[in-house]
Amino acid sequence: MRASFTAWIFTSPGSENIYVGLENYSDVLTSPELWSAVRVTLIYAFASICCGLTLGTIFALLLDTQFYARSFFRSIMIIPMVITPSVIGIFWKLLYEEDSGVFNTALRGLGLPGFSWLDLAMALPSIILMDVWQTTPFFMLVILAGLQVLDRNTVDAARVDGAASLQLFRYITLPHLVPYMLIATSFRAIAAMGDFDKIWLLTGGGPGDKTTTITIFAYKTGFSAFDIGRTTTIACIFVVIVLVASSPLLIRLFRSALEDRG
Amino acid sequence: MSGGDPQQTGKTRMAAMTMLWTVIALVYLFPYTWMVLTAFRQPVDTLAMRFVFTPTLDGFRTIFIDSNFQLYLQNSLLTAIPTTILVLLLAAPAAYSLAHLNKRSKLFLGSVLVARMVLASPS
Repeated sequence: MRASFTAWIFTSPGSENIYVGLENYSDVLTSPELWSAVRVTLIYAFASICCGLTLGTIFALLLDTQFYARSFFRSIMIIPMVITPSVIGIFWKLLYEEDSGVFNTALRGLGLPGFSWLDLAMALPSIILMDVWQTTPFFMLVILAGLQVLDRNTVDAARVDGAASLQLFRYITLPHLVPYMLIATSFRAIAAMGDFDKIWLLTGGGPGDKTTTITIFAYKTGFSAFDIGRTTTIACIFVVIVLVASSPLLIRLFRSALEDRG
Repeated sequence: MSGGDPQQTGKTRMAAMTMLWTVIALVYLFPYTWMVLTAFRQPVDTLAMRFVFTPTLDGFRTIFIDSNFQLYLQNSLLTAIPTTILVLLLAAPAAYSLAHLNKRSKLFLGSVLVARMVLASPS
């Protein structure tokens, strides 16, 4: 953190001792690149969590019933979650490639035109899709755990009282799942804002800076411009942003935990 | 015991659900399946996006013989296993105490732990 107050540049030795006070902070905080990166990061995290949570809850509900080979499906659905993000970044590059990518080849085989997945408009949705693919199993697992502790007596009582399935979900299941959703969302929020290798390997920051999140921005500043002073500044600001962004969730979580205890 | 409402699990219901899940799994895991299949493909087949191909172990041969893959694998295991064990040994008692403390200190300690997570993720 001390380094963020200097004008340290990797390629000029000795410059780490030049103290510039808060100049780095004012430079970074007023640069449009930072705010664009913040925007991209927040959109990425928010969209990824919304889609992941919704899809994960749907999958969990579908997994909660009884059917043949249920544990098999549950086990294989976890696979995307355990693959290294770097591998996913590299591999989805192959899938997304415009001319000979797997997705486009499949689309063309069906007679539909190929999609340009990584152009200016579609790059951000594409990385969000990749992240949703990987993190939906996480949401699914947490929500499934919540569903399995749902009290069957309450459900039966509601059924006896004549509740339809939709009402059952809305008034009994969903409120019960809220703490689980909060836990999963908190974890994913912090992790999604810090996602680096997946995005870097897929787009390297995107066409222009369309997929440059805060972490990628910090990396570019540090290792392309070798401006370590500014990089550490960005890192400190990043921590603040993450804490601010995730605090509503965490406060809510702690509050409900405290209420349970009495 | 887990499972849905009793009135929903007749045999046809179960079979239908299994079929639904087969479709879901096929679609959802398609990228992963493709990845695994690509591991057994020759580069020519990969580029040509052929669905039908003759499997080969060339890829595996390349990474194990031409490069130092055993070393990397060993390093990964050597870092992952002791880390997991150590973290479990430390985290389980911590979680226990966090769950049984009185209100005030729990909030503070809990936030310290979360703060550590925030800093750890980008690194």
